[in-house]
Amino acid sequence: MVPDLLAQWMKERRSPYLLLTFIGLSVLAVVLFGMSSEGKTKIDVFLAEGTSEAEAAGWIERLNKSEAFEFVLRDEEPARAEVREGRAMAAVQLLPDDYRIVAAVDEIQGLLAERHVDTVFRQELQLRAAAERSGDPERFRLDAERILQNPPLTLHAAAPDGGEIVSYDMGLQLMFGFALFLAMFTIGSKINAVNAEKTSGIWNRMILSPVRKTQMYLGHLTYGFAAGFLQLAIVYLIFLYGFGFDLGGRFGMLLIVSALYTVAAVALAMLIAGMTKTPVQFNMVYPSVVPIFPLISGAYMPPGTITNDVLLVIGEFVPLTHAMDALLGIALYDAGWGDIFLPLAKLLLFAVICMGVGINLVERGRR
Amino acid sequence: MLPFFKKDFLVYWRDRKEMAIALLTPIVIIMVLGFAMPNWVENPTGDLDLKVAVVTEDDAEDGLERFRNSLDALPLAPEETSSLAVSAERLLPSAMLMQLLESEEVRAFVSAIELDEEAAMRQLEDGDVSAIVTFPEGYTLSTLNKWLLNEGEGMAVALTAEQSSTEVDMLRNLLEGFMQTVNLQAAIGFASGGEAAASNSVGLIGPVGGRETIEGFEMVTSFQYYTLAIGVVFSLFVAMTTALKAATERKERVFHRIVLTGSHPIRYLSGKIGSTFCMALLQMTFIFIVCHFILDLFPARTVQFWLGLAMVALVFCFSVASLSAVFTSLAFRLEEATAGGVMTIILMMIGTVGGSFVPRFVLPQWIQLVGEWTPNGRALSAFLQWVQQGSPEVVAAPLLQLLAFSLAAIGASILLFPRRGRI
Repeated sequence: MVPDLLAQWMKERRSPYLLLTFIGLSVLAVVLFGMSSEGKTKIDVFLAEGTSEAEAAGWIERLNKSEAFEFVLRDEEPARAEVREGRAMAAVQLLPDDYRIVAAVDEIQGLLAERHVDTVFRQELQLRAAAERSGDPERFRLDAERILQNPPLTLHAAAPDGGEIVSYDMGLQLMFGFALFLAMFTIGSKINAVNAEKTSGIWNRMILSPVRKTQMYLGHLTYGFAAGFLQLAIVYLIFLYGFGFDLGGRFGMLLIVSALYTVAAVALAMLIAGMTKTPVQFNMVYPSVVPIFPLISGAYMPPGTITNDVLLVIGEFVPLTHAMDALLGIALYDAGWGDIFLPLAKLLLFAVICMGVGINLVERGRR
Repeated sequence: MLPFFKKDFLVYWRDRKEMAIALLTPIVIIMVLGFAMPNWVENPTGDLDLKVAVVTEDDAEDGLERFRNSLDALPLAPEETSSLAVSAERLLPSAMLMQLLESEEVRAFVSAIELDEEAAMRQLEDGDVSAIVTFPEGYTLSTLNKWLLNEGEGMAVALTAEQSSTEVDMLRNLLEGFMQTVNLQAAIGFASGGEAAASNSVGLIGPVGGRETIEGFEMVTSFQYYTLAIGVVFSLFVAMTTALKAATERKERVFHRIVLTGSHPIRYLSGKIGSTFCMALLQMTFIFIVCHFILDLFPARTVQFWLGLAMVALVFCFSVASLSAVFTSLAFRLEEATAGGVMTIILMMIGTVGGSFVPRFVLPQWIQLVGEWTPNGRALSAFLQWVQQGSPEVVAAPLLQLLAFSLAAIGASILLFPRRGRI
């Protein structure tokens, strides 16, 4: 195992740029995602003819009392172009005492924004109408504001232990999802070395040498594991120390979960290496299969968005799903070993099955 | 060029199993995504099914009784007292909220069950319910006091959940939205000087809001969006496949033998461009047609629409083909493993910033702008705009830019291609 590992390492040392770029880019991508999805969804607002700037400023101030959205005044053309070209989900056109939602794609974000805008407009317009009827609009406003600031019906949301409901950190989810997703590419490119050695004949020469088969496999697997794990660890460290993200304070557990995920990802790469025979074939199949995983496991969407039973069942067969469950459990909900035992067991099962089938397929050799 | 074109196709045919996988995965993804994502505009709550436990610690009847009794102690005129008592009965807050939860509209996605506190907590822990709504003891009395007499601190309904999720957020928005409406009425009532209940100003304002509808503008469904985005990204992979095959041809000295026959390397390169173009186009057509027939993707569209779609696809596939020429040159310059890595990195980068791997609106603004200048990002915009507007003027500019990109890429690939004796 050691000589094989060394051989891989020597190759890497001769031209380390590729691995370094892979790691660097994944860090960059993850950082970008983590930073961008923090905070509110931005929605452009533009004026229709006849709406004055002052009036618009008032509306925007009222609209911006939301926790989820940030409304920004923009010119009409760029705002419309963003929506048309799919870069923004919705924009709001302000008419005098009215509004229109401009949307191009049927999406939940746009719908939520529409509801928020609608509530704000209806309330304000009702207040205005009532104020006019009352005869003394200014006093009416003051009175109404006073009541609204201390309203009769209120909702107090809390967690069972009395603390705040853990607000869901979508940035953290995207960070984990993207880090795990990109690590699969690094791992794939390393495991592909098995196919490369087979086509170049090195594999056969190794078989003739005193190195045992187990050792050969272990060398490759360990190397792929090390590369993937290193990448994940670096990403976490940068997030923890570079950006001061709260990862739940139990770094060791995060690393153990990530290690298990890396094993599963290595096993999956091995399975695909076994199904394909040459590095080129591997590169045809692997990059088309991998991007499905984060979509199916819902890594890009808030939890609870996917409700389709079939999809949930398919998601069970994706290592990313279980790794995300465990990682988010640790980072957000203070999960203990008992809570993440099931996802970990599933990861391990996945790894064992893929590895078993994969190595068998690799051993079958050329047809 | 033709013999090379034929050769490349034969080489593709050799790996038909892998080709089949590459062709089928995008369709599987689109199907999965399409069936998973509900149609939000027509069916806003999707197939959410939120289970809520309702715990009532408060005795509403008793609270109402005590409120009535307390009225007698106040220095009010008898008719005022009686009208307050009547409104109290009508405005019983817990009953109003329960009515909301049991209304037809809400029942479609919320199922409420009444439980005692202990059972509710246990079910929340087991995950049988996602949230608990609690009416605390004395709720009715103190809320009525606050509401009708503006006295005391009032009391809050408790919403207990372990973690926030789309479902819990939905419930919270629903309850808070309802409370806001009621509070607003109360505020208007008080401020207009009358009693809270008497005012009922809802419905006095004209219709507001709505979605802007413009003649000739079609809404893009999420199905269409995913089909287009995924069709675009999978074409990019074709460019990489071609180039990796070229790397093998270099290693096995196929290229040298080709040069010995007296063919110019440019003809070899143009064979690559031609075959990638056809493969990418084949894949895209396959995806669009299969998805259209299975999912009825673009219902009742004209022949012009399909021609335009084909036009955008043609131009985009050409830019994919010219990208494959750049990749091929790279594969001839770099070591095989390095070349594969570099291509993967390039594809990952333009795929991500161009919005092919993640929905675009997730990305920060400036990345979106950069993404507009990737071929896949431009193509996706062009596709989306064509589906929405179907007017040639709108897509002309992006298509010309894609063509310019293609020409630049072909030029770059010729410049990058190793000179004689350097391979």
